[in-house]
Amino acid sequence: MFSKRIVMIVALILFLFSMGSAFCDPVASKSFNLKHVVNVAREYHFEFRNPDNNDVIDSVSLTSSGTHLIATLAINYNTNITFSRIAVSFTDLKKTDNDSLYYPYTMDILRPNTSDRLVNTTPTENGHGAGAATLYENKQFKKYSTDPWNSDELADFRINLDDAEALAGTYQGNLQIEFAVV
Amino acid sequence: MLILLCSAVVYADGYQVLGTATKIISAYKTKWNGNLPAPTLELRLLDYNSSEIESGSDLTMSINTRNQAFEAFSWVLGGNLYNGISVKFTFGPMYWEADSSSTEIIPYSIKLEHESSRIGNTPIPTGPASSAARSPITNEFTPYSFYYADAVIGSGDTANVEANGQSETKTLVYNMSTNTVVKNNSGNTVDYDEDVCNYWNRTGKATVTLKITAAGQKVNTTTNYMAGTYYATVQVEVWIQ
Repeated sequence: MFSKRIVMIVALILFLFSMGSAFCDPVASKSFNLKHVVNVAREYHFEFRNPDNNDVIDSVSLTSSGTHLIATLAINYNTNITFSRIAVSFTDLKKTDNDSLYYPYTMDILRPNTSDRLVNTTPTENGHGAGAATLYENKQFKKYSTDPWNSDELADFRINLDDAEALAGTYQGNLQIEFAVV
Repeated sequence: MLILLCSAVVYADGYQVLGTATKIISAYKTKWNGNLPAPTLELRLLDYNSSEIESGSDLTMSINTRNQAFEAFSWVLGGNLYNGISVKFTFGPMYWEADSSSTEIIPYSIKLEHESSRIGNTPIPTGPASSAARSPITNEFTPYSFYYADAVIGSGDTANVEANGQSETKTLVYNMSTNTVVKNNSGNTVDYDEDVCNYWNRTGKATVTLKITAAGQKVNTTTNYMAGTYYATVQVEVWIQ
């Protein structure tokens, strides 16, 4: 009997030791995530801004030759969004009363607020300044949570007007954004 | 000499015997067969479709569950532990895109309720009850009859997880030994102090209320929650008391 009692006591001690870690750790544990989706209409829009004061602009008037920083391209968005492509194209500056005449220029596309080139432009064949460029591919805009809208600047446009070859008058061209959303 | 010393101290329920060694040995043999089952415990979580929730997975609460009490998940505990166990629920904030630095947090509340205790198919009452109100249950590892009654603390409690980035915890405590009465073959109540009993199942449910309006606005405001997917981590741990 005495030996059995020792066995019982020893067995109890062993049991406690084997469960010893259980007293420090949970004996069972699971975790998961409650998930809820909030969808509002995905909205975004591009805009050109005056580089000097950030006012939204839809046209730029230049009255002298030389180099001019004419616009900053920006995007406003209200949710995470990915564009497979953001590109720009620009036309020749043609005389408004004679579209066979043009004002030659070159376009530089820069990183915002820098003089560093963002991308090279591809001139239009037989153009006199016209061209195009892909600014971004597979570009994701990640919305941060502190404001309902986020805004990012994408590129600065700098035009170099060559005065020597142009007749006096008014010349007009277009700068156009093209994009595709994933 | 040695045997007489032991016979004076071990058995509190009448096996104390004064006499010869032969009587002591036979009395000891009738007490236990010595084959107690190993302690065991299992935790399962089920979603609102009664499908098991895998650890680490997402439980989606649809737009239709907004701003109302929704039975989001339930738990099933199975085991044979006779004494106290605690089930600790930890609810994390419901962050926008799981970003813990985000200030966009959907508050929610969770109510935890015990639903049933069973041994096999036999429902076990909860709370103190006289043994006469319950049918005895036996097992193959003791000579006793168990008049089971469960004890549950914390059922009905509600955790409110606010938009302040703080987690909330609630704990349910179960203990089969608190209210269960154990009797021997003579109908006398005995002091059963082992760690295991008949295998039981305990179930409960969690009712979640997301504090976002049907239109996706912050409750009592006209402010929209930002578009995106919101996540809150729920952790369930079972501890031996």
